[in-house]
Amino acid sequence: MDDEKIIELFFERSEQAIRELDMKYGKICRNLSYNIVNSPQDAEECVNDAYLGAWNAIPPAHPDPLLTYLVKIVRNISLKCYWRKEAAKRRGPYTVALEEIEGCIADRRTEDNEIEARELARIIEAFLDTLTEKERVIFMRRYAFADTYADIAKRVGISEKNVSVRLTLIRRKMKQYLIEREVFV
Amino acid sequence: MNAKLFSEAMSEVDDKYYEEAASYRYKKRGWVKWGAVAACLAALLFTALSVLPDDARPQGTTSPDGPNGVIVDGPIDTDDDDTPPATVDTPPETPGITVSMDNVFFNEVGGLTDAALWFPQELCDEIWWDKDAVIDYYGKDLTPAYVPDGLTAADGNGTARVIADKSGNIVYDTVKLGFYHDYDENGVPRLTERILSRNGFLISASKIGLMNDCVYILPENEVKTSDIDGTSVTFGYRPMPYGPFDPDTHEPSGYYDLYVAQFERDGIEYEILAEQMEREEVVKVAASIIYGEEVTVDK
Repeated sequence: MDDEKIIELFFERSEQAIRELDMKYGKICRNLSYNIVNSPQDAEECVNDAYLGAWNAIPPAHPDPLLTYLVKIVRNISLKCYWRKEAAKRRGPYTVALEEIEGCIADRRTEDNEIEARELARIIEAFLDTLTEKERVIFMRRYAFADTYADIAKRVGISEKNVSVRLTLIRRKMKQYLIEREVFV
Repeated sequence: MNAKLFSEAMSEVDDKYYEEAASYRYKKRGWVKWGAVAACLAALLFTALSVLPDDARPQGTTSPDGPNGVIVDGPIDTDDDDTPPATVDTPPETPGITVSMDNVFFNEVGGLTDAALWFPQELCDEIWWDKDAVIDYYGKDLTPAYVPDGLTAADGNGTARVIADKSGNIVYDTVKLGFYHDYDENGVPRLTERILSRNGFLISASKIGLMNDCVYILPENEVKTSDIDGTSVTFGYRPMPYGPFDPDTHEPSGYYDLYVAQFERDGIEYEILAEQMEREEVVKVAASIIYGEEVTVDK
């Protein structure tokens, strides 16, 4: 079923909308959530919460594309679970991804020039615009979708080692980008 | 900036970046580009595969202390008194070529290596070779005479992306041909449903020299080779773990068979990497490349 039909079901308040949503995007959502929370039970819970969130938001929201909208809900709910339950201790893919970032851009800012997440997001977007399409996808898949190297390699058609090398170069480039914009002082 | 702030910021990144990453699938004319992409890497890759093969796995087809394998042309070897008469399975009127598995050695594989080189654009050019160009360079069609039932050739088989220096000399010539049970819409081999692995084989060929290699458990001078029509073939085997892995014990769901065959014939270096295939089939594929025709394997 195409996205528009699923949205129509949401607008009709038909519970079939959730079933169709799950059939079409359930696997993607569970994978994403699992990569973050590193627990099948928690992932299932997060995805169900995301469906509920979508149910409550549509209507009036009319997301297009639906998948992106859903992914962001799942990600946000999964991250709340991650920090709340200290899922980081479980050493899942997302913990490893965050460690990569920490290793590259340690916290050196002082309290008086603390940057907001939203402001940082705009800077990251500007940085993403400097990358090639493939580099952007690799970066986003790793740090937004919490994909493993193997998943990224399969998606972009390169080896896992190549993914690792490219990510290292991208992080290095990002660090330099942040330094130049005085985000990283 | 700490990881949590970064994580929060990533949630705030515009939808268009999520959409791009969610919908991106690499676009290729054929999955055989993998080999060429590897040519642009800057690192030596080493996959450390630490678990040794299960010694309990059947090794009966490997001669324990005998000389290298012997290939028998014509009807089945009758020198061995224990061997059933050739007439049992092989009609006398179609002798063909028979390879005896009793004389084929499989060495335990400890790991696979893949070396790749960086070819600076200012010094090198990428060149696409169509099938005719590949045949012209190698002097033959690299497609094996035998492909097991159920496996099909990948799109783009027989074509290659090679690297030449500014004088036109070929400096990277590896050609890869895949034969797998199924492919996705991008031409990438699909994993099988029960076992998360491909089913089929990949042939890599090069006149200059292959960049990938196989590490055997035995010391180099103790690795046994099998003689097929005067060609020394090194066969390797490793049980490969597949997921999903137990979250607590990290135990795999099981193991599937991975075989490697390496040899040089007519100035061309070959490597066959086979997944989820019977060892006899792997030998048949290798022998069919060497002989240039389909052979019979005597189990």
